[in-house]
Amino acid sequence: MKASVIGTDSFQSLHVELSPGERFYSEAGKMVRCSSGVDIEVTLQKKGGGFMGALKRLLSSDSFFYSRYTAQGTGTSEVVIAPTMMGNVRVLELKGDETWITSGGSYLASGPEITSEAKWQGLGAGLLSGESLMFVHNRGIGFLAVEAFGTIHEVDVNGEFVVDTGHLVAFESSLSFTVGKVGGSWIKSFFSGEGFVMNFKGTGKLLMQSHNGSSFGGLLGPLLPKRRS
Amino acid sequence: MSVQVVSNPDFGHLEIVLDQGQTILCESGAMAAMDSDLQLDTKMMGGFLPALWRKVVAGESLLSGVYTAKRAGSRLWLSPPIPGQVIAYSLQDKPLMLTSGSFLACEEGVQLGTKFGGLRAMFSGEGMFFIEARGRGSLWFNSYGAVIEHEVNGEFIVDTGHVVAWEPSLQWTVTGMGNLFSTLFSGEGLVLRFSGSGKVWLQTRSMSGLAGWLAGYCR
Repeated sequence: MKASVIGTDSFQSLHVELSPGERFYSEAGKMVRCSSGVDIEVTLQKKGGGFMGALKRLLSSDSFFYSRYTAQGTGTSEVVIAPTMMGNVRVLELKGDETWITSGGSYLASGPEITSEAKWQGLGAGLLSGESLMFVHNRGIGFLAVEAFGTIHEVDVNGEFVVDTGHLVAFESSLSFTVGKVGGSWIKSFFSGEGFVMNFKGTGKLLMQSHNGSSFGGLLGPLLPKRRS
Repeated sequence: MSVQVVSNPDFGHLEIVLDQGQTILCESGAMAAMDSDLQLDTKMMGGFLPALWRKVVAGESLLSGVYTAKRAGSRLWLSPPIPGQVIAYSLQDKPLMLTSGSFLACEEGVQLGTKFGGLRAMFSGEGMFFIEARGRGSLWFNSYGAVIEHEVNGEFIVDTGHVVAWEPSLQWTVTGMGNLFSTLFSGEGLVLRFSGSGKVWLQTRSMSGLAGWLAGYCR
């Protein structure tokens, strides 16, 4: 199995090569194309998850269902998976000894041995931050692909680091975080337009995206007609 | 201070490293990530009363965030909300006008004020206030789509949704194309009518254009 990123910087996609019998998972509904010998099933089950897991995933802004792609036939099969937003895709190779936590909707796809479990991120954190209530904890051996709005920056955190909730893509579980204010006071934080941020602590890698879907949506939304109820 | 414009032209944003005591001002909400020891303050463009007036009349507060480094090497990332290009501009005593969504960041030597766009601007959907930058220092503004720099000599007309910035050596007014009827029905909305000589920066896409197209699919 080989997972790589294809496309231009602004519109990247995930390309997966499968040998006969190999399989992987993606968030449901993200497939662009695949070889004719690939068997696609929609499933709730992924390694380490069931119905409850799927319910929790909904609260993480990810899809309820996964698609499972299994290569049949004799030759190499290909599958291309596209993200929702315009921007970068990043493939992480997990070796089994680390956990990558993906935030609101950034999970795109993963190898068959990766478990993806939605976990409560703490009441205060979820409700206050405007981020989802659950984050997805991904661990195991194999690839994990994440999607982003805009460019992905990898930051080596050593000590403390602040990320706006809308710019977080994923981080290693060796980092802990609290949701809070930026600057000296709540008042300053609100007036600055930076309502809530995530204060990270520890040592580990973090992926952030250059653009914030909620900010873009927040500008676009008021220009659209009111939803008929 | 080192400020790099990265990921142009599609996802332009700023990667900044500040020295101790250095300050950068930015559009409210532009901070994407930073080192945790940066200090945040907020400033109301043009002072408290103009900010209050803008809030009451237009619902736009036009606040700016002020980030100050307590040590050398503090990192800060600033992003516009819209995908597009970021332009670096060096302000040298000659002021610059910006549409309200175009301002991204500036150095401390730049003073930001606002100018009321006139009653017609209230209906343009692009914001009623323009930002006026004065003083000296670097300034960064952003666009939706690509930016075209145009040297005006004589008269020039731009749809309000496509204007990013202009030099106020140009005379400008917000007007409709023709009479009220055509303003309301032509789909051309409002325009900025420039005359004189000076530069205008245009953006190749408009948010209201995108919204108008999407609206056809909303149910």
